[in-house]
Amino acid sequence: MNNIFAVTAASGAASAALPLPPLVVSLLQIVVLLGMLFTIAAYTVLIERRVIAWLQHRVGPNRAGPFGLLQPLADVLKLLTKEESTPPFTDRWLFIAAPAIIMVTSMLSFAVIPFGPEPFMVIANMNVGVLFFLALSSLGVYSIVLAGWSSNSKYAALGGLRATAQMISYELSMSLALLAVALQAGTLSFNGIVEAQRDLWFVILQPLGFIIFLVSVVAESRRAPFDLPEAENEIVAGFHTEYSSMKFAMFFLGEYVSVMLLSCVVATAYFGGYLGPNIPFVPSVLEGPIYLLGKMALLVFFFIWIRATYPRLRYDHLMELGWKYLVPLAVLNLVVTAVITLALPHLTVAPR
Amino acid sequence: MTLSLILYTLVVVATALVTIVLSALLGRARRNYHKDMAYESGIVPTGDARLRMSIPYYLVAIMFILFDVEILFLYPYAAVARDLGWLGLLKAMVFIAFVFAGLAYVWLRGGLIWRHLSKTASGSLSSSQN
Repeated sequence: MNNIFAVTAASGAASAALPLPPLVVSLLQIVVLLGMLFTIAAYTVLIERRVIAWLQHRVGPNRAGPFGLLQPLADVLKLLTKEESTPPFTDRWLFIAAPAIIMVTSMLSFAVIPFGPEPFMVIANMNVGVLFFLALSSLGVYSIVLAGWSSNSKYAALGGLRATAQMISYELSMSLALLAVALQAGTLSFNGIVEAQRDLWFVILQPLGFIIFLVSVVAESRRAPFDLPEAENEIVAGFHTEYSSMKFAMFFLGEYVSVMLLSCVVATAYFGGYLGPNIPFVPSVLEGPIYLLGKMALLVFFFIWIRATYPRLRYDHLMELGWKYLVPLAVLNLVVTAVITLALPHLTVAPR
Repeated sequence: MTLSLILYTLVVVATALVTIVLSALLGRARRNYHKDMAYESGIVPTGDARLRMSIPYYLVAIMFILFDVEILFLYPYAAVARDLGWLGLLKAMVFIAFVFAGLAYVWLRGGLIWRHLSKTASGSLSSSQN
């Protein structure tokens, strides 16, 4: 009986693939992944502002460096040196813990996203990777609950409540849609799910599941048109109304890292993750990251695009969409997928 | 790799802690009476923010726990669905039918209504008042 963090057959050879001691490999993985996350998250903020500006016929931030490329650096420096306030009416420790939780959970989920077929391209090729991702996204809800409650401010309390109800509702349809993917791939590891798509991407096999997952993912990240917890004209900034300085930036970072994470999960579960045709003159090790990050970039652009396109939903419509449409449709998708998988077992490459 | 995962967890937690400590050290805190009030768009706040919540929020939380746990039971099935074959699918279908009979019950009793005085439900509960 393997322990749950034990790794499936392929990754046993992790250190064999690289002529380096395991500790060095681990440290390299972590440094590269974290460096990439922070850089891309910072530039996602800039890209979002530029793209939104472009879609609204404005210019957007273009003063700091060429094309505004130094804007993220300027933002970080400014936020770090701004006044830090922990208001006296808050529940101090929970107030401090809340932004840390969202940052940790959203970054930790990247441990199970494979950036390539090689064993060292993923931090942990867990055989329960899908469950790990779902568990961490559930834990992320705690951050919102604690931020809203510990702030002891009315806007924060309302925003926290709204966000919690919204996130847990859409988590159902999200996990049901991912369940169908796991069923078709016959495995709960993200590596296995990608490998099962060598012949055919799951977006072609499960178009309904893909749409359900995409909608749930946008709602899960609390972005427009599902940004009711942060609806500026109703409740100021929602659950992070009382936050300032770097603690505010941690919520911000957590949001952008989870947008990247959810885009990566969509790409991995439906668009073949790191798979793609060979690129000439590029070492094959780099092909996986190029494809995954390219697909992620397109999906992040999609997130920004719909933010500029759609108006905000009404709250009762939001909850009805989740419970009355997405959940029953996701169950339908699951049953149809199960029947197709059993009737046509050779549609996907069987893993293991 | 287990080693990578443990190290990664430690590094991520450390990053969060360092960020919090850094922001506490770098930003000067100058407090005054007005800054120590809750932000309510310039209006002086009255009372506490720990207000009573409306019932639908509790309902959603309870339903989430029920359905999420039940969906989790399906994950082991998903991993071995091919090996279990048609009989396994039939058994899973019985389970799904029971779970979603529950959803249908909640729906018909009006547990999914968020509007006050809704006319869409067949048997609306008074608890849908919001």
